[in-house]
Amino acid sequence: MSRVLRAKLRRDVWRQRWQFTAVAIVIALGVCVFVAAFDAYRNLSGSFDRAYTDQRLPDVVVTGPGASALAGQMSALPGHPAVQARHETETGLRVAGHTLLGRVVGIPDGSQPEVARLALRTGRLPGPGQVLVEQHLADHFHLRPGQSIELLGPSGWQHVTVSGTGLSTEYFWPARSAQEVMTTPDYFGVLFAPESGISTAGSTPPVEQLAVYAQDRAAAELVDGTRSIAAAHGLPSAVRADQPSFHALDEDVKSIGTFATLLPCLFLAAAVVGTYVLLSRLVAAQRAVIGTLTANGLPPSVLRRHYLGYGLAAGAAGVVPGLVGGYLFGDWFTTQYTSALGLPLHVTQLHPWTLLIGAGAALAAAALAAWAPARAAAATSPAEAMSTAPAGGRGRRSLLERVLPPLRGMRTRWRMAARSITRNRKRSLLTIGGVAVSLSLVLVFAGLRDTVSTVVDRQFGTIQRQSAEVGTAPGATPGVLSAVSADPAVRAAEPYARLDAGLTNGPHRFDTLLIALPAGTAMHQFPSADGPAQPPASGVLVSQGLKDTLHLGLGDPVTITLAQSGRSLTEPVAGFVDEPMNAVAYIRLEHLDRTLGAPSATGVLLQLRTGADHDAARQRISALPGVQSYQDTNALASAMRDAFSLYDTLVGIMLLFAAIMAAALLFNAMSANVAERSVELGTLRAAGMAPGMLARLIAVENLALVAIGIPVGLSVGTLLARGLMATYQTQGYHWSLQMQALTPVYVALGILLAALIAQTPVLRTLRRIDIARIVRERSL
Amino acid sequence: MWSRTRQTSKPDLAAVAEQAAESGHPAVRLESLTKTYGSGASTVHALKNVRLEVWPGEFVVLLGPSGSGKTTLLNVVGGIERPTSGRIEVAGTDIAALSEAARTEYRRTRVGFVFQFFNLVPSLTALENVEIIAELTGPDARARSRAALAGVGLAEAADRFPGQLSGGQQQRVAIARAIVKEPALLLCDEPTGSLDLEVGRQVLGVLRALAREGHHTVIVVTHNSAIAAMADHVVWLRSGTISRQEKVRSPVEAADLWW
Ligand SMILES: Nc1ncnc2c1ncn2[C@@H]1O[C@H](COP(=O)(O)OP(=O)(O)O)[C@@H](O)[C@H]1O
Ligand SMILES: [Mg+2]
Repeated sequence: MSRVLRAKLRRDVWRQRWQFTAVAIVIALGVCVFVAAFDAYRNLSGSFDRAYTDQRLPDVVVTGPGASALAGQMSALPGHPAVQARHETETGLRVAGHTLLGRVVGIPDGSQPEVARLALRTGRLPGPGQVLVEQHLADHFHLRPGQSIELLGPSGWQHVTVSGTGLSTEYFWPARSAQEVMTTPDYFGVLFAPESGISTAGSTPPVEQLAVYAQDRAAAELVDGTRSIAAAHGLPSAVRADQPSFHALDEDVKSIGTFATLLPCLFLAAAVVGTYVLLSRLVAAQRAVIGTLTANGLPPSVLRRHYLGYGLAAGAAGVVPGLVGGYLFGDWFTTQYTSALGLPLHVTQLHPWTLLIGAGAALAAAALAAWAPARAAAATSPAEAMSTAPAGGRGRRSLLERVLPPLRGMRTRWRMAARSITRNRKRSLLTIGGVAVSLSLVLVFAGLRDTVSTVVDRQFGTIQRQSAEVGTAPGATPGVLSAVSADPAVRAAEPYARLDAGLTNGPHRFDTLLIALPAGTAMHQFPSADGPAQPPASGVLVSQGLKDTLHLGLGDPVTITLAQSGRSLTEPVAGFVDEPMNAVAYIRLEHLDRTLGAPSATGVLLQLRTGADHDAARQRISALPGVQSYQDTNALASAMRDAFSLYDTLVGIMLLFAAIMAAALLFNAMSANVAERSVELGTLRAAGMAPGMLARLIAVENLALVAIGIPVGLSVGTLLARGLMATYQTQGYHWSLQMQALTPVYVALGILLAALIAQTPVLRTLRRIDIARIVRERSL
Repeated sequence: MWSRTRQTSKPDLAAVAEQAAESGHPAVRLESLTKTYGSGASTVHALKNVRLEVWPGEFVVLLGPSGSGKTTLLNVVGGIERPTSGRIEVAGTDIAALSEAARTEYRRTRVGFVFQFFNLVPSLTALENVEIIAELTGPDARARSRAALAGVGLAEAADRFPGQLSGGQQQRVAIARAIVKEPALLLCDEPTGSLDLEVGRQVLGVLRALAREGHHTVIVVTHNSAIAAMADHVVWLRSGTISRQEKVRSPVEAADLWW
């Protein structure tokens, strides 16, 4: 490129610095989101992978009597498997006046387990009479080594000492089971105790487990081998994908990965639009100059490089802030994410490839956008040098006028506004597209956020009517029920059972919960239009989500195997219930008792009186003999909301980004529009059209584009959100997009506001239009 | 100031012109008009102490080489630019002292502009290009626009878009646009600069007729001295000052011009 052309490039950039900046900002946003999301994805999955390897997250866990006897057979499998036999039990746990459900997991006396190792945060491994407290529980109750907590043993509450606190990969996400993924630390907590003391730790006999980990990570066949050995002994086994913590986090990280590819594409697409609009306007405006240069023998290739260079300059201007912003944003996100999980495994690494790909994609987008205008410049005929016709194509009546002849009666200036939309169709379409992309971006996140809060509200507001769930020690339910009923704060109380159960239908099996509620229960609203409102006299109600998983139809027999007792019963499906957060089966308590021939209740559901002091009630009821756990519904609901609160922040950030993007695109489109028509607009001003009127005309023209873009964006965004929701489905869960009615309105208003803000500088230019300069540029 | 009532009750321009002439008010009176651009060493004196009187119904031709200040003079008289100092009286009112809004209204109600490049809105038909201005200045915009187009001999091209019109036709649309509001003052900056001889003569004929029959005051800026022959009043501008002016007794017809 010649020195003069380089100077021209510099001056062109300077003359259009705001438009140039707008493009650079959109490119920067694209790069930023890409780097942030991709780095967060890589940092998180890298952190998890490293922790899973360092701490040997089990590949397979075999559960049931005799599992530990398979250790020898398992360790002979290929892949250098490490095996660890252990017991685990659940019992009441009292910490700082709270009674909750504790899970005690056995570890070898005085040493780390071979599999599922613990990462100590404070203190040391537990000795006799001691426990190591899982970090989430420890953090919630501020537990430190040396403190004392109580466990409900076979002979009543007994004190144990905290030896230390630490993390287990199996409880990074402290789920109780695949069905109880969401728990709160004042409902469920995990402790690690020496195997030798495990049989006296809880009130029920412990469950036997064998955890297997392939030290040779390439040995995938180990999983199959382990499972077939277990199956041969009639023992159920669970692989990593079934492991609740692993599964939940894996899903989450995967969805971050999805966003890491999807979002930057949208932003870079917008950047292409912005750059294209800017450059094609520049080339159109410089047609005469370009014609003169080619007439004087400037090779087209030089021109092409010149305008491509302009596009690349915009790309380059956006890349650096984008990379820096992306690195910081990604770091922030990773920190937020891990601290929300309570995980101190924040690995932030600079990934050179992410940066390179981000920069490359941005420059490629800029070059792509510049390609067509650059080619148009190179193809400009020297005859253009003589052209005096104003840019902007031939006039024609707008489609609207042709379809609706009465519109021809509009004021001419409004007809001009209407036609200007179709005057530069490509630009109008691109602007509409840009608005639509921005809007759909926000809508996706808003839709996910709405769904979460709607689902939580529905589950805890409509479906589950209890104020709290009280878990009782075996046989203690009747006593607890009458004591709870007598509590002055309690309005109603009912017995219920919550049993770990395996549901099977032929070859299909699903481990879940069997929940038994008494006839006429006031604690549960079965959400089904056609199904029963109460637990049926016989048969089971099954969650909608299990219909497909288990291939069930109405009336099909389903076999329910209870994990604790090993008993099974076969019941017909009496109906399906549509519960978003539960993939469980419901049965009538009386029917279950009769079928099993023994009382099966495991706890009490209660409703507190309006205005009752929930905390005081919790303390009173927790202190009752036989009470093992107390789960406050509000606390659970708010824990769920907290778990998704990162979405709120993301919605906010995306709204900001999308608004900036929409504003930048509109600003460029409007600037181009006004610049291109400066002569005719200046002429109208010279003829005495008031600047306010002209500003209104232009504003209406541009808002019309926004108005067209909004419904397009709303539809695309809704479809996109629905699609993402579908990929976000986990086994048995049945979520669909639940957008609140006003959300699209707010999102649309937000984008409209951005459009209005983007207008102001352009409209100000319009007011300050230098009529003298315009008419003089065109005169001799 | 330039009240809107004027728009609705169209006055008889001839009567206004006569009245103005009788009352002794020139259509335009410039006194010690100065316009400078920039400051310090780079100051350009586009107009220096210009004094000029133009009478109602006069057809004035403003001649001068490129850069002599012709466009500047026209812009200042037309209320597009403010003078640096001096007075511009139009029908007795000093427009240099007007506010921005009042100048917009002055342009809307009193002045018609015709530029060298026709500056039509490409997305509007010939009729609509006239109408958009007509709508700003009173009722019956469409009928008035048709009449204005007919006045420049373009009645049959009313529904064509600028892209479908020849240069001369486009310039006549621009003239129709300028005269549709019946401005007392018609200011034309090189109206034939982009036109060939034949079409240029046609356009000048239209302008001449407007001054003669419509009693508009017409000022035509040109660097083409041949056009001077058809003027009532010729003004020569050189380096921002009026070097000479002359009233013509019997101007020739536009059709008889030659360049
Ligand atoms: N905005 C401006 N800034 C500086 N100088 C200007 C500007 N506009 C016009 N000029 C100068 O004023 C003088 C008169 O210009 P103009 O009235 O356009 O001349 P003409 O129309 O006779 O060719 C010229 O020297 C021109 O360079
Ligand atoms: Mg000039």
